[in-house]
Amino acid sequence: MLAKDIMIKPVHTVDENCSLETAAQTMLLSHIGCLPVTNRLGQLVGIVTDSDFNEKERGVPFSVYRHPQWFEQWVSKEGVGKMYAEARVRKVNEIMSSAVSTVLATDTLERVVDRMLKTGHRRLPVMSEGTLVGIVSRHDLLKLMAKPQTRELLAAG
Amino acid sequence: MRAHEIMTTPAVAVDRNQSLEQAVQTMLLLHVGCLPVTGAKGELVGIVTEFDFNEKDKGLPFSLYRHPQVFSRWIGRDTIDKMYGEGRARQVKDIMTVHVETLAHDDSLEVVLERMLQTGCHYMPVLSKDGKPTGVISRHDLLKVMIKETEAEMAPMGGW
Repeated sequence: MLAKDIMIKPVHTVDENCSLETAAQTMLLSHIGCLPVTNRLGQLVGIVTDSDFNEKERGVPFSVYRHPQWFEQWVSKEGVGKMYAEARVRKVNEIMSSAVSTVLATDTLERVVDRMLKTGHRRLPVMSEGTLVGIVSRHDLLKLMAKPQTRELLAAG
Repeated sequence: MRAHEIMTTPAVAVDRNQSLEQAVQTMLLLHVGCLPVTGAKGELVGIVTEFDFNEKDKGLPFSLYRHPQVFSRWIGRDTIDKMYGEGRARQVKDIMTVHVETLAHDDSLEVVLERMLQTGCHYMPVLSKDGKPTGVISRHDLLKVMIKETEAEMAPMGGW
């Protein structure tokens, strides 16, 4: 089994200048936890995940205020609302991870699992001849343990 | 905004004696990364997440062989199939996380954010007053807060 056999395709991507609100909306509507980020030439320049929105240090909306220690204090509802309002209009390239670990479409399953465990990432973009062709996630690896009928059901959508 | 407005519902739970194959099937079909695990009376006894299946030390199928380093050498497709095959029949309680951080139905958004960031958890079950899981809040669910309130409120109804 190769990366291309287990990956999800096609891949939703966002432009690096896209707002965080749009990115969040795309992720929610498509039920996906990560979006590869592309520049205007369509090249992969980063990745943004649902965790990036909620990390203590660099996530949004917290980094906006540069107060990682913010949560040691009680904050009013208006405070959270304001922070999120300001975070919505910020750009994807401000919170994305730039150094992206990828695998090749022709990589074996063993190599994909190996990369995932070594890097600790939940998702890896799959590349073919320099182009993004899919995403493989930890969730997708669950298919290896599923009944053949379940796999067929999922493949049929 | 309260915990019960952010969470994914219903909380589809698995019994702790169910097989991993059944748990995986539920997770794949519902597209969720975490299931609350319940005991005989429907009370929460743990959670099982996609991480539990793929962690280096604890996860399956790797822990079966107690070889976290198994992937540093080449292994074949047959071996992988065999490892997963043995994992299928094991029970949820063998790999579940027992010490679970939970939230209450009426916890405010501030409390939800604070607890999730402080604990580093990706998933937290939301409990009713009698200790039964009614939903799960994931980091993905927190994205809902990023969308303007009017849209976030309308989205779950799906009426437009």
